Amino acid sequence: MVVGRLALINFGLLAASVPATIAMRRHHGPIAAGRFAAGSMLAILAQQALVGMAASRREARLGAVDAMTLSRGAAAALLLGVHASGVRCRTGFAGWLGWASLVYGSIVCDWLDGPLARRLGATSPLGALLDLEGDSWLTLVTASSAVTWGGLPGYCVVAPLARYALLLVAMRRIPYERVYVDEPAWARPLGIAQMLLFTAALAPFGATGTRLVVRLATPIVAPFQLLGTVLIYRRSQRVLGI
Amino acid sequence: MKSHDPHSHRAELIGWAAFLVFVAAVFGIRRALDRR
Repeated sequence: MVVGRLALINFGLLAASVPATIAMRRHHGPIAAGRFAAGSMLAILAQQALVGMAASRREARLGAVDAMTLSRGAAAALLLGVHASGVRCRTGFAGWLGWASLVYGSIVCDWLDGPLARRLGATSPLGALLDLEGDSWLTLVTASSAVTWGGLPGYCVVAPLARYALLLVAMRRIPYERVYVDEPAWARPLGIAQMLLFTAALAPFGATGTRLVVRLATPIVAPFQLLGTVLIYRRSQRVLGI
Repeated sequence: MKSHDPHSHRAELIGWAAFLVFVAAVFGIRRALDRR
């Protein structure tokens, strides 16, 4: 049953990349579209392989709300597809596609999957894991996109990358479930500020005003996010008395 | 001397206004879903 539902979700996520590939071909040519399709589909398949492993290890069932959470990974996959296409135009179709994927993943999906799960009584440990990891993965891919075609400096990728490095270090001592159990209240607004910076940097309609705000905010938001990531790691160690 | 394209300023304003309306709508749906 787990495999059947996973296959259905896989099919839905892969199908979602087809119209985007057709539009990429129309706007940026067959080579860029082919690279986009390969990049986005490989990313979806890799994500779903990991999800399949996590679901079977927990013997958990994937529901409709989980599918919505996983579509955030599909949004990240579309951004990776734009990376793979080689098109670096923020104001062109690829730029709009990447930005729309980011807005869907970070706002629509991130804000609505939790309340929907609570309302439908469909909350689960697997859903919480997919939510947290989907969020971190989308953040890393978005940061990389914002550096590649959004004009942000390379150090903006450090905080999203550090999250994975510190997670691996923490998991050598404590189980995954305990690492983010006591996340402080300031972590969410800090994360929102970071995503807003990336959203502004990638906005296809962004002109001089947006570029100025992005230029001023970057040296403040990026170091604070890194500091926050380190503090959350230290907190997880302290809570357990390590 | 640099001159700024008034169309790009207008497009930028319209873009951010539409974005804010969209964010407010999603936030409203979220609040409605979480209301007990």
